[in-house]
Amino acid sequence: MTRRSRVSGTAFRMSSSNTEPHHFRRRWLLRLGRVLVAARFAARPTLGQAASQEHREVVIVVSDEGDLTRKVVADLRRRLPRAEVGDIKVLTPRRALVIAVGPAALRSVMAASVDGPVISIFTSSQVYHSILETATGRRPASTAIYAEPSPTAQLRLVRLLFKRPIRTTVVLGGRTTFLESLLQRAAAEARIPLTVENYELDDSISRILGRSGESHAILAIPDSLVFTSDNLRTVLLTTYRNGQAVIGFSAALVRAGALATTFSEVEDINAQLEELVSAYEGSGQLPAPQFPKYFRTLINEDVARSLNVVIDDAVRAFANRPEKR
Amino acid sequence: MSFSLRQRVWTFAWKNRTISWRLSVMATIPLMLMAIGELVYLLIAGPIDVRQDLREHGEIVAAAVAENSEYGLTSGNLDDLNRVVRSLVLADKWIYRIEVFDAQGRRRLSVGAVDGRSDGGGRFDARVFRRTLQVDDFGSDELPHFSGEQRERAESTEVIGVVRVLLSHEIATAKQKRRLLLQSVLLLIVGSLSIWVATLLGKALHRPMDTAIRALREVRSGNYAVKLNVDDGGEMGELLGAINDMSSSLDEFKSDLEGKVLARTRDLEASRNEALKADAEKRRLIQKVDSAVEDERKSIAIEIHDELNATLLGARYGSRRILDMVAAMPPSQEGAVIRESAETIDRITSDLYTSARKIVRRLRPEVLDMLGLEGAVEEMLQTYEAAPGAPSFTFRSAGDFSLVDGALAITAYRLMQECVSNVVKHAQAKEVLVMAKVKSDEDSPVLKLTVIDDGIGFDPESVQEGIGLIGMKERVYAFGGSLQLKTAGGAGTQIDIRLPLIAGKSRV
Repeated sequence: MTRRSRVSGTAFRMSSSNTEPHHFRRRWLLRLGRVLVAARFAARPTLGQAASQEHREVVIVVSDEGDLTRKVVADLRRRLPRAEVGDIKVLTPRRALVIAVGPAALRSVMAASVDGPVISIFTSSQVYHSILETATGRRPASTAIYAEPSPTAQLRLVRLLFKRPIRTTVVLGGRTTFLESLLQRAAAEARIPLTVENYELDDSISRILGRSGESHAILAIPDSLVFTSDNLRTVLLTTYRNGQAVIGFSAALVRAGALATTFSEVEDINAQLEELVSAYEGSGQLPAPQFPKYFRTLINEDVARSLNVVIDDAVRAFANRPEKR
Repeated sequence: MSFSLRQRVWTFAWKNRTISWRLSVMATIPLMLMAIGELVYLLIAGPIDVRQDLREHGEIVAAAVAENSEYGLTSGNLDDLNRVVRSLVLADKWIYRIEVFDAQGRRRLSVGAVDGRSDGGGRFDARVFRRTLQVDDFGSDELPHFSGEQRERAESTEVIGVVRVLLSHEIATAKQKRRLLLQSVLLLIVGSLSIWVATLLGKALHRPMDTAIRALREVRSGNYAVKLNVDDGGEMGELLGAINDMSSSLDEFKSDLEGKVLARTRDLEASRNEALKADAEKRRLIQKVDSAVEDERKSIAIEIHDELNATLLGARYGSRRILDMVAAMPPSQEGAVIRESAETIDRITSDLYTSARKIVRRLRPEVLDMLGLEGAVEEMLQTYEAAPGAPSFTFRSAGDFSLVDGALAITAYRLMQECVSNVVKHAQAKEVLVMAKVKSDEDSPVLKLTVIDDGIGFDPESVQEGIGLIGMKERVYAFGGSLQLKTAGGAGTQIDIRLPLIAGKSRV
């Protein structure tokens, strides 16, 4: 059963279910957050201390209690032992560093008008920008580690897969047009002929794919105007019939029929976050939103065989893993 | 049908049948019933199966086309779908037409058969769903996005069109007919095989039964040396073994009995031979005794005739001379006494002479020598008839009685004498017919003597034979003859005696 969480006001509702275990976990989470936040703020330094010279309180804000979210929190608490899992309503120290896990958490943090910097993780670039654009009131300083793979890494993967410069098409909708320059630079670096198709309002993915018949590969960038769960199947079928390889944006899409993708596990994102927090605490400056730095590669061998793409170990080993501590 | 008629039909149809026939019937009747039931089921279930086949086929085709229509309806590229559907309609003779409608009900595709097949096989619709992948498109603004992990997602069931399949009934009907025909043929083959197997099994069971029956027939006909090969188990093997044991026991019993019978027969034959020998000796003895008696009688008769009678005649002549002398004397008292004494002597000697002659006649009927058997019998009958209260005798004779002489003549005379004496003494008859015939027209001439009276007769079963009759039989048997007695209470008596003349030639 799919479990969805909703944000109501400034409070996190951890579950849509009224079952006793869920209530118990929610109460436990809230009490723990209150206790830890209260203890932390009992010994908080005075206001006015330089951000670069002190360890800000770190509060992890989640909006659901799914397995993956709990896995994220557990890993973060291992990496950031002082981090608290908090309720945004009891965030008295408004200058705490807030880590928002997921779009709902990010939106609630923005709605709470916190003062401290906000780092968004596990939220795609399009949703991150959408939330920021739609946020009302005073917006805190924020950055993000996007959820989707880095276009640069994806284009490097294309180059590794085909071992030659093949024509590649990328379809950008209204929410991802900001990536065009990045994509062009990455394509140039990877020496990939890149065609950028802009998705218009009256357009359809089928029509665009029809226009992209000469491209050998389609680089899928997550954009809800272009790719939805409803049309991904059609996209995969169409590209398969056209003999085109799809470079997906998640491991799940590769398993569904895309040729390959780079992807980041929870530990990869959290490692990058840990580095980001450390850098922020050292410099006091938040970096610009960034794509995942650490990744690994997943290849659908069946699709590769059907497309006559020879996969070597170099492709399979294409990754950037964080250093082990 | 009355009870007796049913019983006759049952007897004709079942009881008088062989075991192999019964077994064949027992094996085949259930099969026939099953086959009939199967045929009835096929006839009833045929139309149902046709509808079922059409429904299954139509649903499968519609589902398959719907599965392949998602891309065409979503992308608007119906060329591939059209090509697939045409190929399907061309290859599948069940399909009359396939139509594809979009979500608004507009017909986007219609492909029909062009080979003239008819519809009527039903209409089957299948909805075309837009199936979503279980993939996060990173567009949700609620849940975290993970590029490496799979998050469970709800599946969309948006209907984007309908596929309609119209089927032709011809193929299904033809298929059903072929199926019915095939199953009927199979049933026929299986039934025939079953009957064949049942017949074989029946024969297999009948073979030892037949062997047993033939063995029992042999035993019944007296051939006990029956040895069956017992290569069957179960009851048949036990039956054949029992027959072997029985025949063996009967054979041993028969051999033992035959041995006993043979020994007994030998004993009986020996006894019979002894008896016959004793009988022959007895008869020779009787014959010899009779001869001796007759000789002695003759000798005595001759002595009486020659000596006594001559003496008596001499005494009589002497008394007559005395009388003559007394008559010549003057009457005197002494003369009267002498004359009276002489008359007494004459009378006594005369009486003695008469008695001596009677004795001589009884001892030796010299009349037999003078007149032969024929005359002697006649003279004897006259003597008996002269007695007071005697019946009337009629004598008839025929043939050459010169052939009858010696001992046979005396025996025949004595036999006739005994018969007539018995008639006079016991029969209370009025008429007696005596016949003596010598018949020489046969291979061996015989003397036939017959005595018939109209007396009271007797029951030979209840009346014990007298000594006289036994003596008569012995005399007859001694001469190789035969004696027959015919009598009954109130019906008179007839005695037939048959004496062969050859055997009677011997004189004593």
